[in-house]
Amino acid sequence: MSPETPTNHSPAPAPPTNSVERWAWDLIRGSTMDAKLSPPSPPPTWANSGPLRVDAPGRPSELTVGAKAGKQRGFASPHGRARAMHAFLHHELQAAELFGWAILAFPDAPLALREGLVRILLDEVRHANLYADEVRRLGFDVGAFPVRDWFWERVPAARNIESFLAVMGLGFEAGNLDHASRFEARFRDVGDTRAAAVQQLVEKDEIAHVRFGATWFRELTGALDFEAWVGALPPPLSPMVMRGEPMNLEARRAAGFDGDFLGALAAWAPASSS
Amino acid sequence: MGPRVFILNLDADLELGTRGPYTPSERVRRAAVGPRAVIAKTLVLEGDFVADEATPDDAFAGWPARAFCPTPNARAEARRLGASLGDVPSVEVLRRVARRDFAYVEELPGSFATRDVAYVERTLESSPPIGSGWRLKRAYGMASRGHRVVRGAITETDRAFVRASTDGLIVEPNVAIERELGLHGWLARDGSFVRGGVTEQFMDRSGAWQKTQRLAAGAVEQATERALSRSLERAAHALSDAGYHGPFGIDAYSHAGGTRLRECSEIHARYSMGWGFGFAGLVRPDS
Repeated sequence: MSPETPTNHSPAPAPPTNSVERWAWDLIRGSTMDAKLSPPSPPPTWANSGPLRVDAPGRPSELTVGAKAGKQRGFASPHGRARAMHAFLHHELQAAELFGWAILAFPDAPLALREGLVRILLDEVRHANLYADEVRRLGFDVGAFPVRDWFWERVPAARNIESFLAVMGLGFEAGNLDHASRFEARFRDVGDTRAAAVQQLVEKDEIAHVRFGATWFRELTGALDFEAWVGALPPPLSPMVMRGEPMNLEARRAAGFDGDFLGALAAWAPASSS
Repeated sequence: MGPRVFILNLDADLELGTRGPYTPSERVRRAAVGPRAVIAKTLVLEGDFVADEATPDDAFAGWPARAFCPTPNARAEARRLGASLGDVPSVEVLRRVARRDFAYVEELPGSFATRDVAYVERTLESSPPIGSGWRLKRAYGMASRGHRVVRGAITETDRAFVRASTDGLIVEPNVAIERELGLHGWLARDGSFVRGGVTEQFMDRSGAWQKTQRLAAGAVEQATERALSRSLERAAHALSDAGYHGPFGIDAYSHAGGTRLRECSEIHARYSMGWGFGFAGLVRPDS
């Protein structure tokens, strides 16, 4: 594993203009939905400056950020589906920001890996736009439901790039493969085929994102091993929040997990405190 | 809409990948002759004209024009003819979306896109997880142009190819393609799109295009049809977000040893060899 990146608690200075890093910084710190959902094309040049840890994202005034976001239920009504889509939109928005966060936090990561983070960031923005369209299709505005920065509360604890890949690629995005197929079925059950199709679109990209995480985790740590993965998760995160019920084994296998890993993940239980 | 004049600049990807003025080589001109004749039959509707270098200046004054891709050369040609390409994306957008790594999906295990030359060279020293050797693809190019297959030990010629690929490379396991399919569409400015029918492409051993045919409804499994539709929609969203509108399409393929369709091996942000086949018999969205 690479050395841990020291945390910089002072206000983060903006990276040089016309760099990929500044582009990522602008997306994270932007405080309008336009800055978040319609970013310009990334520039071709990298500043390759020192590590920079952004403490918190900018939040558009439309979004009401709270300590709790509502449960996903009542899918028979447009309101319930819109609320779910709004939550997914905010998940994707946070994911885009956090891939940008990693670009800034881990400048020593291989360039090929950081270039992949840029592509994934753009995928996440596209997903957020898909969900925003769904919210509007169902008759609501972006901002109509409260959101929670749950991922921002956890992911920046990643110590190094391996830890970030463990949390985002192999953790939350892999877990999302389970959730996406479950929600797809729920949307289909209530007859909302468009909402179900959007879940499928997102799931296909997420398989590639998880594969990307798996490839680089293996490259940087030597193996895609369950224990190594668990060890790379920053406390208090555990596999518990990174798997859905049921697990989408087909998608996870397509993303590069082998049977041993998936068996260990399915069997994992928190250690007893007694 | 009445008749239009077509500018069939099939070398658009090469032009977009060239810094500064672009003039096609004699080899590129020769290679375009056969495909150009096919495109002229499938893309051009009754009453339309296909212009070429011999067409006199201002021969189509006031006419609407369509280009295979509205590159700077195609725009200049339209001006020379006195025709108008109308509302087309900026050249900057075209350059961005013509890149092979635009909205690239790492579908094949071990694949990636990068400008990191050292990492590419290190990768080429290892064995791919599937397939026979590695296939390198330069950022710009059509069909198999700009490809290089590396099998066994990396040679100095391979290294030179990598180092000369200054716009970046896609690195993928070199798999044996069994069946190559395509789906085409027309993307409106507002992001909505219409799609054509599924096509199948046939390539020679070098990867050069041989022929395309439109498949009858039901000729591919439903799962494949759904995957192609999903892939086209994904491309439409990515292209629209990037500011592109106009003709587009995706290629997909099945390969030896693979259990799943590779749903998006290329995105074409322009017309393509299969586009006219895909819309044959349907209302043409570009007319």
